[in-house]
Amino acid sequence: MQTRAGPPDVTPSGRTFLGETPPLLVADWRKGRGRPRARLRLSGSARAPPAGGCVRAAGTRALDRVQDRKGGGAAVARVPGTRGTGGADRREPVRCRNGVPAVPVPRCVLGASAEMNTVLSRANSLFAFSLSVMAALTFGCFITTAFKDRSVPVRLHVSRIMLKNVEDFTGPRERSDLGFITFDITADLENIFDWNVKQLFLYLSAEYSTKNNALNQVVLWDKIVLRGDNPKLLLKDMKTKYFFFDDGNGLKGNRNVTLTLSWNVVPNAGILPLVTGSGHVSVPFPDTYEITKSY
Amino acid sequence: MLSFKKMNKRQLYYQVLNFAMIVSSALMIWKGLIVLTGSESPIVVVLKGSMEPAFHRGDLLFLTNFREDPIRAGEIVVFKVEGRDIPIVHRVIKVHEKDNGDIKFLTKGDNNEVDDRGLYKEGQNWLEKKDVVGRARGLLPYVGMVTIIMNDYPKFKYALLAVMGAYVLLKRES
Repeated sequence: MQTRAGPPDVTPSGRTFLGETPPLLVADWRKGRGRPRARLRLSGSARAPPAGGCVRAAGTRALDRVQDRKGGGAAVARVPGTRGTGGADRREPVRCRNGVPAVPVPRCVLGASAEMNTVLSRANSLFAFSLSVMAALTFGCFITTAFKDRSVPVRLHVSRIMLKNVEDFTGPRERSDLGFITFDITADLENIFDWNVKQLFLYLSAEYSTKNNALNQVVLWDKIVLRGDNPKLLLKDMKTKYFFFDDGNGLKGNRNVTLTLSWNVVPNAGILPLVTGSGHVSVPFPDTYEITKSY
Repeated sequence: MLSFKKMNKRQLYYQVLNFAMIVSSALMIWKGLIVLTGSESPIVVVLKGSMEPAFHRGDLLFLTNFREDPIRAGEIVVFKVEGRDIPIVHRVIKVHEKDNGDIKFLTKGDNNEVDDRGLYKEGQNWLEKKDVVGRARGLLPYVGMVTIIMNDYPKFKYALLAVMGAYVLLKRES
């Protein structure tokens, strides 16, 4: 009856699982070298308490007891120096203290495929994590600037107005009123820019009503101000960028043409509001057409 | 082993039903968004660079199209020209509205030199409310690139669908 440690002659199931050495046996084999190895503990996904296996971290003692119990059974023929793996020897199952037969608890994935799986799953979780971080940042950008007031005071001044009546060469070939305006703009847009403003699209629009149309709006001039550009606007004697054609002849003698400077705030991510600057100027248009002078 | 096969079948049905649930939830959310925003296409991807530097190719735009919202100069609208499938995202630069509410307007891309009359139908000088798909209310950069890639390389789209389908159906193995 041997109570001394030595590799058991049998594996619990009679053969190893997929070539893996069951932890029980590994522990035994190492035991002779004086200390239990890390392999004694279950590795990887087999770390959960095995149903039936009785391998414990402080293993050697358990194994000793196992050995003892086993030693009380039938005699075993043992060849010194061999491990009982894959043995053709007799098959008495190793029993744990409580008498439940121990089963080998293998690692779920082995060999080269193990590394592939971890690389893929790590890449997957890294990707998912970075996606969620970016989504959270984007949402943070949006929510911190969604309710800001983007209006600043604007000073407008019109220095010259001229009116002509020509065929509308930009579209409908009808004789329409064509207005010319020279204007000044003074505005300080610095307070609008923050971490979530990519650019401001400024546009100067003229609003008026005529006999034909209750409401007319025409954009006369626009400018893009990117974040980083000079936010202070000091423009003098600017000419309109676009032709001020009316839909008909409604500019002649029009008492009330209102010019306002507005801007479209373009964020990095979030809402696209249209904000009108506080400050506008209303000008009357002349009663007669200018025939001789050119603008 | 018969019980094993039965369990397999049940799991298969479960997976298929799960998959169908996911697909129909996505559809419900999409249709719900259409109703909520009043626009037939509430989320669009910018394809061209005619609105740079505001919108780049691959940006996602959120649209609304409420009837009470009037069309005003400076707004960014997504509109469809008769005879073309693909809607265009440009800015309104001229609006003429009559007493009875009839509106005609003209658009131009920020990055273009001239207005859009060259893009409209032959002889058409103005757009009307019925051409509008929606007004751009929100922006999400870069996310639309996935849609563009799937459109330009359909094989990628099929491969992705196959992988997703396989993953959903085979997930039970692990």
